[in-house]
Amino acid sequence: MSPQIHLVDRPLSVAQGPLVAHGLSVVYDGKPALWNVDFTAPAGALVGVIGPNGAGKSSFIKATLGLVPWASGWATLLGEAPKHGRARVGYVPQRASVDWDFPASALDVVAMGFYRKLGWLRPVNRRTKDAARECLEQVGMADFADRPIGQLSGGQQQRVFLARALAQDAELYLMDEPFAGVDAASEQVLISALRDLQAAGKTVLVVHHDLQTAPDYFDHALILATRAVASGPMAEVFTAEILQEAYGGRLAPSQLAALAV
Amino acid sequence: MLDALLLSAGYNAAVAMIGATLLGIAAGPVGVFMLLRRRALLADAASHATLPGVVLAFLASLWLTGEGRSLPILLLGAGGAAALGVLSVQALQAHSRLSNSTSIAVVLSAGFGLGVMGLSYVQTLPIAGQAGLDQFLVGQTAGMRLSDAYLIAGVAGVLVLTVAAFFKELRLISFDPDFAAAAGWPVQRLDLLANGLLLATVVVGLTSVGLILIVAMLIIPAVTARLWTQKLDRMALLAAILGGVSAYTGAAASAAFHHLPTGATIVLAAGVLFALSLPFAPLSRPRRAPQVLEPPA
Repeated sequence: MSPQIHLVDRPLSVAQGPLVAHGLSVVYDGKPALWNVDFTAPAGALVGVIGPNGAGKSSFIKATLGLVPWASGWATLLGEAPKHGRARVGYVPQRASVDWDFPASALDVVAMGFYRKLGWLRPVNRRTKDAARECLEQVGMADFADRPIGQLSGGQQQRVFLARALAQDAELYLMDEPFAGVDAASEQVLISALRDLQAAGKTVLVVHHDLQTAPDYFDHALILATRAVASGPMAEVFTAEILQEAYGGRLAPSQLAALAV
Repeated sequence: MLDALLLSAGYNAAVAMIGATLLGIAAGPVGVFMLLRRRALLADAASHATLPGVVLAFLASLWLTGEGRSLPILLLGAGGAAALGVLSVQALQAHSRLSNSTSIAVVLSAGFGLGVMGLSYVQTLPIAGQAGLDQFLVGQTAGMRLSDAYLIAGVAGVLVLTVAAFFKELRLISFDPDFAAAAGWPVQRLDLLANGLLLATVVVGLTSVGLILIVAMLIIPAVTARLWTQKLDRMALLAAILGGVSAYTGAAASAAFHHLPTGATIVLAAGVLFALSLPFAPLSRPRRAPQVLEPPA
């Protein structure tokens, strides 16, 4: 076996693209959640991160943001190490990762997207509130601005999270399961917001679990099953063969037929 | 009792009541963030771990200055021991299979046991001043000096100002630490700040409420405030008011009836306010699923 050279010590010189992962692995308690993933997001793409439960989709997003430690490899955001690049990234965490009984209104949560711009110690002022109200309007939630977040439906909570990410006014957006448990109306609002972001030249990565809608929603895909099974334009990677490999042969022929791949 | 409430039950009682009230005001907002970050029991571990620190500081100060009961030195010892207690809980969680609450239980009981042992030893010593040490258990403001009250007032003031200054940052790390980290905020350092506020409250709380009950002054006003409002800023303000009122009336009761320990009367006052809130507050009833109807698509 011939020795291989890995460019691990100077990632910045080789990182092209808004999000690059090279040999990225994440290990929890000795078990790999993500294994040796290479991926480059094309600028301006709407990328679906797709795969079965436990495929490492969330771990991939968190690892590129530097929120979980890397077992190997590296990642860059907008050409910088995550620690620096992430300040210019909009992030939508999983809805279940926070306590929705927290005493806050929808407006309070969206305003958090402006905190970085406000800077240390500066309180949320009227101008910030007005800007947050505009972000809520973009996701059709203007009427719910003063509603406590615990009284919103799942889809409405997800829209609030999206509005908070819009407030960050980023070049790259990373969204963890924004479509999970949302109603049809919210799903339409979310997808049109994603398309607006793409039209504005932003790059968007979305963790997505619904194979039915994936080809309609995204033009690129990263198919994960702990390792990267495939990545590229949707038409090339969303094939029966690749999906069967990612899902370990668990997709029934009828399911694949329904996907028309 | 009425005399006490009107601060006319004597100079010492008035000083003690003002000191306790300021502590109650500070403990409210600090407790709000402690509650929202789900660290309520960590305060209990920290407070019980202060006792060995108090005893050691007493002995050290006796040896160095010939006088044991210097409040700043005692509180310094308490603060060091409390920080050690919090670090022990975090180390146990990181490097053992113990759960969060089990780690807290171990540190709480071990620290308190050590402290009680030290306290018994000190009380056998043929020296003056050690009799007051057990006041740190359930609180006794009767002997509070003016300089002590100044110290408490100073710390309480710094606590309130810090919470007010970092309100937005504390709100962010309490609600969504992942988002905060992704947006570039130093979450670990802010976490340290929040824990520091907690430790400082516990330590100055030793003087009036005592180490066994100080956790109640952090929790009860915050929980009571939560029953009344869905807004964080109002919740923090209300908790400060409730904490201040509880401490004021509790300390007055203790001044009027000298045999009642201050900590117990203050916490009872806070408990009464909570009990009165339960039947009337809008958010007392158990939470049901959100009653929002989505129009069919």
